[in-house]
Amino acid sequence: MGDYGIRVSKEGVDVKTGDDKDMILTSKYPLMKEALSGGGTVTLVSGVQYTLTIAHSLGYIPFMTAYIDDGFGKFSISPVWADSATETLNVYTKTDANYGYIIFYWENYVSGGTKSLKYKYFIYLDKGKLS
Amino acid sequence: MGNYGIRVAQKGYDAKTCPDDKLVFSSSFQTLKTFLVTSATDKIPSGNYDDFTVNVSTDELISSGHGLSVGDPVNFTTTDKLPTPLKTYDEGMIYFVVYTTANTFKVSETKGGTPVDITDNGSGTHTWWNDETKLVIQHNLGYYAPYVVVYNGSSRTGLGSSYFFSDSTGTPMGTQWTNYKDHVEIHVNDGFDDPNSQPGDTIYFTIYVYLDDFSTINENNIITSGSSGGYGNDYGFRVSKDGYDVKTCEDKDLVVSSSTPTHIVHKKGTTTSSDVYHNLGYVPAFLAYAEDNNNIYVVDSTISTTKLTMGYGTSSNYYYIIFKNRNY
Repeated sequence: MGDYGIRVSKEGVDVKTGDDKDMILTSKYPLMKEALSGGGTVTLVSGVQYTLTIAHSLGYIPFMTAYIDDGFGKFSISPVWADSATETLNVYTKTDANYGYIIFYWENYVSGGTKSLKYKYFIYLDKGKLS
Repeated sequence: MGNYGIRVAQKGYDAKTCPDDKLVFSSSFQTLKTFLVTSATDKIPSGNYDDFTVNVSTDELISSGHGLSVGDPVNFTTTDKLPTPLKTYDEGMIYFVVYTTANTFKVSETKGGTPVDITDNGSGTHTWWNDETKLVIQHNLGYYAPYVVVYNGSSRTGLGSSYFFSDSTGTPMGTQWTNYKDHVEIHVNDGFDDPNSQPGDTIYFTIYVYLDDFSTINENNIITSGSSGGYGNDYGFRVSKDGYDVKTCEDKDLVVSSSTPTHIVHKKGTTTSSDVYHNLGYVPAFLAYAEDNNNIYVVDSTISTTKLTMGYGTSSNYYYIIFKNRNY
């Protein structure tokens, strides 16, 4: 059987002869599919780990990414590990069959206190662990 | 000529008027296509080490009571020159044990491969180390492609989780898990995931390699504002993977569905500059890598409403994809 399915090329590329990597879409290669996304702000206490829990109800372990604000309007993709003479920040993600988690740890060695961070997450239909 | 092609909006949004970041996909914008997704396992190495000599006629490395097993990774150091043609760890080489007796072993450049043909004794004192292992996932694309490595846990922690580019303690592993033009390499040392996991534990990974390269796509904003439409019954289109019934299969087994947003590429390319402006006016999702020694690795970068700022890399060649998907 010859090649079958759907193929959409980007502008300037011949849909019949163009390379697969220059397609907008081809039924040969799945796209990453978002199941849910969201964001918010957490307030961290110096020296105390905080875990944000997000229910996804997919029943399997999905793929997840998260982005974390550095406090100055710039976001990094997690995991984040930032150390300075006065502070440390560690943020990473974890998913299981029912929940996605963003785990935060922040400590100010000098003055303690609290810190607010913005976050954003994407949980995908695509699996984070194959069976 | 007006706009042409295909445009699919997310559920609840008008395909004619919605903002670009509310599209499932559009023929105006490339999407991130999954080329390969696979799982891989290995063991955390022991951390053991000892000195060795060689038997040139048999290609054996001699080290009394070495305790190594077939499949174990080893790397080498020397005070002078290793036996030919062995290369040191600093030269980027990790070997694998392919034959053992109680006091000797042979090594190959690949697991289960042909033993290295040793042709001289070298000079100085030679040491083997079982402190780092290397998993190779071949993709043969022939160019740098975006990739993701997810850690799924160990035989000690259990396998009920996934961690994006980190171990289960949150330690970033981006520089140790790298992508070459034809394969992904996952390096793990004897302290990996400590204290949650220990040497000898089996470790599990899921690896995604995408088909897309980093050839330049410049930003192409078509619509940046607009409102949503009404909600209705399920509608749109669905394309299933080979072997799956498009009417009944689960959403996760689709190539694409108008029900689920995808990663629409806003801008991608390579740069030697630390800043890449995207002009979206909001914070988008992104992937960024730096190049070093013929491979790319995840680099610590930040993105704002105007630009992506690359983190420090050992070279100044960066590879990036900025998506239209809103980050915040």
